[in-house]
Amino acid sequence: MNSSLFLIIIPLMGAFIALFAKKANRLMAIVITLFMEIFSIIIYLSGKLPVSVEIGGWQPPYGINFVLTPLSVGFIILINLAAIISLFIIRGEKSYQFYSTYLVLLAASNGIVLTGDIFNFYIFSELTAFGITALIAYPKDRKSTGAAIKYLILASTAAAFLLIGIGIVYKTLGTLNIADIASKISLLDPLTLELIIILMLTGIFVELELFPFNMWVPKAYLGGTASVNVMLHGMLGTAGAYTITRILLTMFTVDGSGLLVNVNIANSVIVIALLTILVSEIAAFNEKKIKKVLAFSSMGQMGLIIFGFMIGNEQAIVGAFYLVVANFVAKTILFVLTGEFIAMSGSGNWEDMKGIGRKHPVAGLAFVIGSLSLMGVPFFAGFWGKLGLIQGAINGSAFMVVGIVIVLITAIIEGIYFLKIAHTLFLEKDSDREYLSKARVHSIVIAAILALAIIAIGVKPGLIESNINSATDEILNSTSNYIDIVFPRR
Amino acid sequence: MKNDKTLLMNILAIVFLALLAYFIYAVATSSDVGINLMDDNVVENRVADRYLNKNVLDENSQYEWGGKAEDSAANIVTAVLADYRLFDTSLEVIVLFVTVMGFGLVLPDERRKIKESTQLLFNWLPILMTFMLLVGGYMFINGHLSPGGGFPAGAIISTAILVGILAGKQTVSHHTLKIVEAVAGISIFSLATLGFILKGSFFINFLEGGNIGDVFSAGLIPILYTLVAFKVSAELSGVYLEFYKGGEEHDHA
Repeated sequence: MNSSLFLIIIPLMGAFIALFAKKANRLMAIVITLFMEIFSIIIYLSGKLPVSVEIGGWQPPYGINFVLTPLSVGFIILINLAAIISLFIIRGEKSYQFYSTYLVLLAASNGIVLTGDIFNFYIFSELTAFGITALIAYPKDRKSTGAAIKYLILASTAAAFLLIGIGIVYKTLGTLNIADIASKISLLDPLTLELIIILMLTGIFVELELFPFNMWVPKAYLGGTASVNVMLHGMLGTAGAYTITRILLTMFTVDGSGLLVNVNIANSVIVIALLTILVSEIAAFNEKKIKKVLAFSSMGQMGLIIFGFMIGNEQAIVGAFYLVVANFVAKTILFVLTGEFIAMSGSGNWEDMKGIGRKHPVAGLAFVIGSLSLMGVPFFAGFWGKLGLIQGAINGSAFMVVGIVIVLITAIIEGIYFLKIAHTLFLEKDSDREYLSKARVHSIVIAAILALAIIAIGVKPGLIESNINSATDEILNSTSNYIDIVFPRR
Repeated sequence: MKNDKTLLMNILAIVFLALLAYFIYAVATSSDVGINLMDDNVVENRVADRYLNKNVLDENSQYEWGGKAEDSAANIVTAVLADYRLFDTSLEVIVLFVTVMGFGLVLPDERRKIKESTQLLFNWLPILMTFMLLVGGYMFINGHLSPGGGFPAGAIISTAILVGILAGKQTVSHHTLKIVEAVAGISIFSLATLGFILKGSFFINFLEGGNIGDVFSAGLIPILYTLVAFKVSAELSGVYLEFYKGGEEHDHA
């Protein structure tokens, strides 16, 4: 499985070749991304998982290693899928800077998921932050440059906290390997451990779009083009969800059981996640710009996922994984279609999109399916996620019941604003409306296929059940599923 | 009104920082069981111990001047950076690459002209540049023996080009820099892949090491540092050129 490093090396080499590829760079990016997707699927199906890959011939913890488990490879399949979709909906980006940066971002978001070394993780997250900053700034207008700089400042400050946290780990435990840290975490002084967790959480919360750290989100989505939105949501968001499973639920747990060592911090994270859900859904409710609505809803879903992971029992984690998949698919549909709708109507406000659903019924229907899944209506993929979350929370402490109430209330708020948009798309007529451009067929096809996937998962959750169960098992028994893979002799 | 708000934010920030400082103080003075932030750890419990003795793979291997070891770089920092954790270092190069690219996108379009400077600087330029290039070259060739290496060497070489610009002379074109950057970058990752083909592991130091302390030792490290130096210098020079007219090159093909 040493060859899995091609997932990093090939896009990085592509990034250099893109400097000279001129008009072929889009084709090259597509070929590389397709290779990545196929290669990661082959790894997933090869039957050799889980495995630890040594880089440079030095065994862990001395050298850097990659850990390929069903969980991590499953996540890179999702990330590369988002990458392919984002390339197909590109509109007019032709310069080498765009593709070169994109390929670096692709390598880095794969690396975040695969790496088994915390400092290596830091470098990859730095790479994604700089990559996405450049991509957001790409249109070179006032809005996008402002959004990019805002994100850059927040992300670099957060990265500094993460780096200090890593430094303290290295000072106290003398190691940087995630599995090694996880097995030695009980040796630490409780207060020092608390400091480390707080510093690292601050570092990753910016990327996770959680409440006090998420001022960058709406502007970044608004400033970026549709394809950058898909990257931001599908690649970075998915990698962020993976981060929480690896850093919080593998590294800082009691005997690898998926429960955070420090109960106070676990509860604070839950409070932050619930606040995120509430604030973002209320903000989305009054928003007129459709991209901002989606950005706020994206934060809300992230809050839900983290809430699920932090409850920590089996049903909740299964639910959180269903939410990751459902949110990934549904939001991708919505971002792809919004890009088309905005280009057609020439306006970012959803109120100006009257009757588009009538003109393009397939696109309109896919939009509605995506929003129903986000709301968690039965027979759509998101339902199984929210169901698992609520089951898990009922079995949790009394404190979680507050969470259930918030989840249910925000589902209703979400329902209202998404149905308002759907109503505008379908029922309000604007017959003498001239559209600026036509919707592109391939975007609608992508959206339709993803919408079918949502219904398939929603009606028959067994399709991905075995994958999700193995991922959940990995989190709940990380000693045998993660640490023993990296250090088989201990 | 706006000033009131800023004042409030400043006070909040100071209160927050004070809380953080108090928390760190409490952490540092905590007397619970377990390894504390301020404890002096025994070096044997750290990965660094094996790096220092160069016995990660082989218990008998040891760091001895003129001897052979698993990694034959005399400079321990270089051994960690360019051998034990080479993967991180090569990614660090990409961080610089993507930052410079993003920098070009964020920068406004107005650019300065390269102006002629005083006669004094202009006449001294060749001598200054020669010395700077010499020091830079020494840094990366000697990186495995003495402090230095690819990154500082690249920075020094790029300052030579900056001095050229300040004196009114653009010594390299943007296109050349791009070629240097790409060739060096592709070579670094090709060497990594070559390791996979020859020894079955990426980023492996597959060349024969030689004796610790020799100029020709440490296997791949001098080659890698040369490539890193060229890449870093090309990237940093690219940043300087971005500020000037004639330096920009955005092909809107």
